[in-house]
Amino acid sequence: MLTGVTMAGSLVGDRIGGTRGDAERRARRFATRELRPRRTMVALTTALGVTGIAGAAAVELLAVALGTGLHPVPGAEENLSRLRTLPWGDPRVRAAAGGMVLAGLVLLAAALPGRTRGVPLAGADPCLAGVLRRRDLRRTLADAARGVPGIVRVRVWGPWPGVGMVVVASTRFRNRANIAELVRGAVEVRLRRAAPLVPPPVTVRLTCRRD
Amino acid sequence: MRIPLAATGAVLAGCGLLALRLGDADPARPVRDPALDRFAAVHGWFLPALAGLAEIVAFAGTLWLMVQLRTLVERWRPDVDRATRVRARAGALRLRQEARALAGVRDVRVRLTGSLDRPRLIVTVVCAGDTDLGEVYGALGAGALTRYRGTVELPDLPVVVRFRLVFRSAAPEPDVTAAV
Repeated sequence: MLTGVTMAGSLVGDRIGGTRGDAERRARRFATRELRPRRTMVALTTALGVTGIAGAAAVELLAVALGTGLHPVPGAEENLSRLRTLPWGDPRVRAAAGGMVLAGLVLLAAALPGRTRGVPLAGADPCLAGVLRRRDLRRTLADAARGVPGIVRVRVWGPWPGVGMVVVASTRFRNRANIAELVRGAVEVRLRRAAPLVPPPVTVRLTCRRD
Repeated sequence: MRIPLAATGAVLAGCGLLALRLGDADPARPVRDPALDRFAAVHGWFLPALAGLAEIVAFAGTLWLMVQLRTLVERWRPDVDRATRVRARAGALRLRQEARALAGVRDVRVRLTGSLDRPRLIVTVVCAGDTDLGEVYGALGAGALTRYRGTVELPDLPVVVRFRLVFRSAAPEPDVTAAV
């Protein structure tokens, strides 16, 4: 009987744990999707360019196809005549082609998912995404490190993928003793309070007085 | 919105590479080859087909532009009915009050964006630098935001909470170097 109750409790526990894990996974997916950079300005500029250039080309081509003898797009006639004499090897043509390749690569890079806007926070609501600016995370960690007695200057770098946060602190003491551990402890406590979705590892570099 | 960007980028880079290759292969050949003019003169379908293709691209570009502009406008003015707008205003007021009562929270801004089909709530929470963000975030998710969703009658409303931290200007560290 006791074994049956324990088994049932274990099954319910597994079920609750599974549901919570599933919710956290969905929350993580939602946060990643929501906080992905939108590239609105790049997309808006590109859409405007595509519409303008393709529209002008369509109007010009239709005018030629219909045999109207008109060039509705200003400057099109001169440019089209110039292309009759301009060779592919001309430096201007090559520069334009190089610019096209570069612009294309920039657009392809912009289409990549990229890193999230800010540091996503941990949560279990699949329709809720929390985010903290990277700059604010650095500032709050620096604030925590500055609270350790003897620390006079702190710079925080990151978070970088694979590296995490790097805290560079200076103490006014000549003997570093366990100050680095105290700084690490203070920073890690503050990091837990910030509750990032993926807590970055913390590296502390301490410099002390040399005179 | 990334697929049109990638497609435009690929086409642009491909055309650029082709032009560079043509420049290497036959640098003296003019860009507007007379052979192309002759081909267009012989085949009457060529120019209208090219014009049709340009029209299709221009139409796709216009659609893309409209979607972008709509997204941009809806970020500031949600495309929702009047009743939802009124409910959202009441909900935002309550949400702001409840959030401000949480420890460390200094200010709260609430903005409903998107349309009724794809609504989004953007909540900006300004907190003191040492605030327990995990606690504030959990309390918002468990209480105030659930009530907001109930008020606007959108139970699955996606919410993005942006935290901003403010720090007191630090007092200057006493110079004790000489005493050590």
